[in-house]
Amino acid sequence: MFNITPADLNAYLGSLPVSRRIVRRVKPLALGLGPLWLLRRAGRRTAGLPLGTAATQLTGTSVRDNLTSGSTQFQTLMAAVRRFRPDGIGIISDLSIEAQACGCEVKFPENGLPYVSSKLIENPEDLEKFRVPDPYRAGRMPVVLKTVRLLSQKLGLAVGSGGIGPFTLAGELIGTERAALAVYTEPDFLHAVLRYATEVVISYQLAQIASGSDTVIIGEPTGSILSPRHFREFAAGYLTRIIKKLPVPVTLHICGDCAHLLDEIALLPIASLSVDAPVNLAEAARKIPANVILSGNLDPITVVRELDPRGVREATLKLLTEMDPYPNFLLSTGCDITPDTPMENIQAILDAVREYRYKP
Amino acid sequence: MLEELRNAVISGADKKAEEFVRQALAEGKEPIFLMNEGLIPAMEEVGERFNHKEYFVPEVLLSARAMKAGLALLRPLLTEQKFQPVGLVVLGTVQGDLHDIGKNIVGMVLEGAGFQVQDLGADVPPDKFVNAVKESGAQILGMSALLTTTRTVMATVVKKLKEQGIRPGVRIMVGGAAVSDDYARKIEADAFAKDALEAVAKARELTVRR
Ligand code: B12
Repeated sequence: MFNITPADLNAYLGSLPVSRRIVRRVKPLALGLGPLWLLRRAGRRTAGLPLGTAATQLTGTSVRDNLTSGSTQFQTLMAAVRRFRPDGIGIISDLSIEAQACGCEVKFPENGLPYVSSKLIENPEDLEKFRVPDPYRAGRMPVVLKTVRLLSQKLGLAVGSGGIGPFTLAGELIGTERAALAVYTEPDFLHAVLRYATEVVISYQLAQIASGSDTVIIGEPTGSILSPRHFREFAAGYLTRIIKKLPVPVTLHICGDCAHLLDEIALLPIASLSVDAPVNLAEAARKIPANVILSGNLDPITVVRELDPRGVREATLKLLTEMDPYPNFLLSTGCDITPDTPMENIQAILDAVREYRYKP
Repeated sequence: MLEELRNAVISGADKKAEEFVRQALAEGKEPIFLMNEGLIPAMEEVGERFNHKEYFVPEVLLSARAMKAGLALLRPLLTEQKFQPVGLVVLGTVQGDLHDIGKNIVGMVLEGAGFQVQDLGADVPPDKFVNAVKESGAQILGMSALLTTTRTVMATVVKKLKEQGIRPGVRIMVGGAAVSDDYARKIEADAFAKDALEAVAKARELTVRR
């Protein structure tokens, strides 16, 4: 899948009308060619940052406005594109959409991310009543689909979207603590919930792709609390099923410390892996296949939010230098950038990457 | 016997743990002895294994469940014999934050170490913390925050406790991924702990120092 030479790409790009050639320079994603070629431009470095949440500052909108209106979120992401000129753009990550569409209640702080506040499934019989929600109608799924559609139609950049993984969704549906204990006490029930969650994820992600997504990110933060053995049994199989159903490159993102899971993750058919700040990235690079993009992992809080632009720049250059031996490295933050992170700090990351890219 | 009780807790076998406590009591063992030599060291071992990444969250929860099964038999006897719990801890995750796994583990390990724990849950508003401390007369208030955006709620609680004049009567211990030693000092909390074992050690210190 990734054996694409620059010549192939030029041939592909050359076949496009000139106007689209420029605009669609990252469009091979849509063909399923995988984003790896981006990184191979003469070994140059690229940054892929989750800009959306912080970009709400540019439009003076609240996080809530953006997560409840597709056109507002689109405007915000457009503002981010104009300001930062990124190579691609992704929707604002929101871990509560799937659970809400299934019927959970959600609490919505005005300028923070929403969270699930009620459990839905108490026992195996409940599951029978559950239908996979229609992504074109249920909860705020249509907001995301609209954002993706607008981005894809109007922008011509690679569009990334995504959602949560089955274990994290299962945790929201039955309670995270119960899901954790269930690996021992009620594995059959947990598997049943996971099968349901898997179908929810597939149908939602397919709708995003149909709306114009070129690549999707599946976030599985709660997976990081499992041992390798349980990750294999209760997360990896379901993730594999999802990835195989989706016709675009898939990134797996795991928040928190997933160093103990890297051997399991390395076996997944992912195009890219995004890891959080607690993970040693160079060590991860040695465990992950070379044809999988590894992205990370500036600390979104202690570095990106709290240092001054100079400090952010230094941290970025340090990470770039450390990762120099690994061509499959994509610079990013470990997790989402907070809504109150200064724009100058984000600019400092991008400037540092561009400077490093063109160093002689 | 004790060895078996400890192993039952460490391996998370709740029925066995309960059975061993029952047997030991029938043989005339003192409840306080079973607590101090059985449940407490077992939960300490579980905490060690968690810190060394031999145990993960599910294993800790399973052990905590076994520990609770044993404790349920011991607690009424301890109260009868007027053994005071080491201290009363009011515990919760701050408003806006629903990460509760770490907080729950801390609560269970504290219980395992002989503290009485009043768990207020997650997403707890400042006034609820303040009222719970006021009403219960707790020696320790434990607050958890994993989000940097909501950890400021801890400072609000400290301020409210001061305003209402109850701050001197309670020791404040904080934890969670968004908190550090520095931050604890900044908001004038009495202690920070990075994990459940440290939480027990600090809680003991705080109750002794009073
Ligand atoms: C699982 C998880 C979730 C689950 C939570 C399930 C649940 N019911 O708890 C879900 C998926 C729901 C979730 C949601 C979100 N999460 Co989250 N999540 C995590 C993750 C991966 C693991 C947390 C965990 O349970 N760890 C295991 C336990 C055992 O560890 P612990 O909590 O640290 O507890 C130990 C110690 O800290 C200490 N301790 C804990 N509490 C206390 C209290 C006292 C008194 C003491 C003394 C000690 C103590 O002892 C514990 C035992 O050793 C962390 C990553 C991380 N690095 O922690 C992110 C993380 C906490 N989440 C994060 C974010 C941003 C979010 C969301 C905003 C994501 C989003 N984009 O929507 C939402 C917010 C929801 C909300 N309002 O709370 C960020 C927070 C960043 C920040 N600093 O602000 C983290 C750090 C990931 C990251 N790097 O970005 N998350």
